[in-house]
Amino acid sequence: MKTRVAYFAGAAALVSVTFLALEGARGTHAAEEADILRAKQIARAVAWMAGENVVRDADVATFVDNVAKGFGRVESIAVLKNTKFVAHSDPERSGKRLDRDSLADKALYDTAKRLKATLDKNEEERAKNPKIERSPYPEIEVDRLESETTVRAPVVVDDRFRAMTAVRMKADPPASGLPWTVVLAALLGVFVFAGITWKVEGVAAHAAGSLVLLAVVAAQVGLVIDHRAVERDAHLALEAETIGKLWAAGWFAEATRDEKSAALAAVNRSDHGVVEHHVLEVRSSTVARPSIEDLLPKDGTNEIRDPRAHLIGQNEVTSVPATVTFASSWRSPDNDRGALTGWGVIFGAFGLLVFNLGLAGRLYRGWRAAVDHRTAYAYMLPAGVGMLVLVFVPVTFGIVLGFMQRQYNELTFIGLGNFASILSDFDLSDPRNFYFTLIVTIWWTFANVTLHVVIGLFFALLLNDKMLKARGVFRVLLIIPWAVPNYITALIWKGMFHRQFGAINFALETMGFEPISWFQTFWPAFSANLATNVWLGFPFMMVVSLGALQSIPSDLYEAAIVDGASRWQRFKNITLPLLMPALVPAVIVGTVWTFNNFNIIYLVSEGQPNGATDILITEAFRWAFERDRWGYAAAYSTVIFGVLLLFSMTTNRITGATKGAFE
Amino acid sequence: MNETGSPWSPGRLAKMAFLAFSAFVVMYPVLWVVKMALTPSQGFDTSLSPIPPNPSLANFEHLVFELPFLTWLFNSALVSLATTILGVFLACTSAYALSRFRFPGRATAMLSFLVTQMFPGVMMMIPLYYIVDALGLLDQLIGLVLVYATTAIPFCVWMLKGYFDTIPKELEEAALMDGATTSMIFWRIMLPLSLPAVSVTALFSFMTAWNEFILAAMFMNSESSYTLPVGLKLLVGQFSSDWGYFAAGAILVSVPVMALFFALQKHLVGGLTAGGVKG
Repeated sequence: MKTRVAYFAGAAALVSVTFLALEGARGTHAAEEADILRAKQIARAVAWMAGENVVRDADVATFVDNVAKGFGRVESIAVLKNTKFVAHSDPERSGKRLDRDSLADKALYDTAKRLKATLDKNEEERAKNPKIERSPYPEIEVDRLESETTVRAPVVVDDRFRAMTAVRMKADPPASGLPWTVVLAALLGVFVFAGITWKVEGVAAHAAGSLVLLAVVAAQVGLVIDHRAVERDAHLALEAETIGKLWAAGWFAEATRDEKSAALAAVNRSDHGVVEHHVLEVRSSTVARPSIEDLLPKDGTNEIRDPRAHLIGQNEVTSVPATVTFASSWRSPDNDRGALTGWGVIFGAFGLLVFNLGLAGRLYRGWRAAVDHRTAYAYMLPAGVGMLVLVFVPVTFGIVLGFMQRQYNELTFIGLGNFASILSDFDLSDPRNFYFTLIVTIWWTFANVTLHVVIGLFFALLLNDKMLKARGVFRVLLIIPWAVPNYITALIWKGMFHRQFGAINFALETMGFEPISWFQTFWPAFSANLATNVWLGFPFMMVVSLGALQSIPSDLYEAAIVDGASRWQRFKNITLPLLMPALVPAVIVGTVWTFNNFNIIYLVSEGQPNGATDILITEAFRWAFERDRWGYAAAYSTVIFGVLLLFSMTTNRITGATKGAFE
Repeated sequence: MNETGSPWSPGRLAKMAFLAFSAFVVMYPVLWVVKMALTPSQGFDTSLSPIPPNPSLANFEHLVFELPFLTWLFNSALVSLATTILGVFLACTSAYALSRFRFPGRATAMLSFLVTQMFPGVMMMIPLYYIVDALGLLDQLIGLVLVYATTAIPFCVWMLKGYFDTIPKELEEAALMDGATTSMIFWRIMLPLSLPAVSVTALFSFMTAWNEFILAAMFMNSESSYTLPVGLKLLVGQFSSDWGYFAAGAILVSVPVMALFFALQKHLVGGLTAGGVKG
């Protein structure tokens, strides 16, 4: 009975440690997240200022200058229009063009292009489905580094991308965010639990142990949720403060009250709750500014009446001709702690059920095995830990993610929804449709592997002639494509297929053909991908075939010649059957590689035209990182995994490739 | 299959001519890159000839002295070497256990190694990003090393295990009789005897790290921590395409890999097909 108690203690400790680890990992990012929030607000505000026609360029520059001064750790703010900085917190760069030799500037330009593309995609989605309220793809990009945070937001005028705002903030020294309440609850739980169960035995011990374990889990879930609510409130307060400062900084602009209200509405967006600002007083030293009466709200809303609102103080800005004093307040959405604690209890109860139903026995047997085979496990340990953390956990997480939906950094469980929407859509006219992509992928794999084998085998047969001069030289020259890193191959071929300057179109023109826009229509783009991949893939098949050909004893051929067999008969009845054992595994490997060949598609055709040449794996990547639908992408990948697993199991059954490997 | 006749028979001469033509076609992209690298202008040249009109090393000079190429090279070299050492160590120890010991969970371990190989890499990216971030290793070379070394494990383990299986057990039994411990057997007998397989594992780990692009692009955010693939891709971005610099870089990057590749390619084929099918 003592051992069983020990397992309960172990389970409680395990649960606690997991919670601690999860919350600890989150906590360390609290400071960085705060920076991101702030940089986001600034970027949005600057983008708005730069976007509306009511604001003059000079005002934008002043605003940028004010903001850069108003926030301690803001390193730079830039508004980039095409290749020119419309405004820049560094006066040296304001009004200047991008530096062609600066890699940072190049990256900035690429980001602007990407943001524009995102905006266009959002527009497209909204046209398709007018019910969408918020943009399906995030229009703000965040880069978080050890030393700084950069946020880039689009400047939109009349629903069109005009420029990009980039805000760079120096990082705060990271604060340790381990929630002490959770630590305490974990320790307390284990102690109480040990105290109770050590004294009593039998059924009583079991029941007591179960109850305490349940309490530990529930308490921890509750505390974690509470901790998150506190964190969110802190974020809200921060956002309110930032918006307040921004508003103050922008108050000088030549604008009417309505325009300022609109500006406020645009800037005043919070991801976490409701933020409100109320003007208390405006003092202007210049005549050109609107009168105070005009600026003060006329409906008397400068009092904060909502009892749930938190007043965070008053902001003033004096760096401009006007002094504005106003109050900022924030209010968190009604929270749902009770319901979530309920979930904690349910999870805990479920865990207990599993534990009582045999996990304890398993743990015990596992422990015995670990002691008995400790040498073997010691050798497995280094790789095992690495695989667990960086392979198995990600894979499991990936599969679980397939059942969730991610919106605005919140993951919600949606069951089989993702899988259903992937598999039940049969609209083949849309290149993003799963079945469309599946057909392209199968066709891509089939065409590649066939060409690899045919070309590879052909060259192998030519080279398999001991009397041939310079055989070794040809062999090396023909293997070279395999040795070139494949991202380089892809980029080279992308250049060769360039519409104006590529070697392929020159060759076509020299031969009297019209040059082709390779990536405008499906078949040319597909052929470009295919040519690239055939180029880099056939040497593998050639080397495999050559190895197998050389191991065929020559007396077989001699005997066949004596019997009067023709060249074709010799090939069909001797060469091919003896090649198969080497070729079949190579074809299987080649199929899996080609099926998952990310680099070629991603770098050569980039999925053009309109995503039609994307294969499953690049499509999954786009769902995840370009359309930002993580759950959908995860489900998509799980389906790909299923397809590959099915393929492997089938081929394995037919060829018996793994037979004996488990011995 | 054909070992008779003169090397200068018409059939063989035709074969050679055809092979020479094919080799030229196959080599053309490579020659094209060499030409771009040696042509100082940054655009494409407008002739099909693979010979540069007025060759110069200006691109290489600019790449090495003006751009952070040496930083990227250093990063890539460091990451690749560390990945190789770590990857080989991890793969050898566990392959040894799987080959020589019978223990509960052995079949499960082997099967799961095999199955994870089929999981699309893209899928792992989001979780990996979370995990690497949680470990505080974003934008740090060590993060890449850990990810590369572990993702290469399953393949390397299957390959090495196959090789270990072919080493006769009698050797170890004799050593045991002489009083050797398990670790002595591992270090002094198994590893030296399986040097060919270990070197292929090393090559594989090295090439994984040296050539990987997507994960590096995701994890590395600052220019000073880019690896070569990420840096080179930046050279042919959308704002301006410096094809000359890219070509020069491509050559410098490919040469070491190709040298290693040709040194070890005989072993590689056997390893890839044997290990690849199983894992």
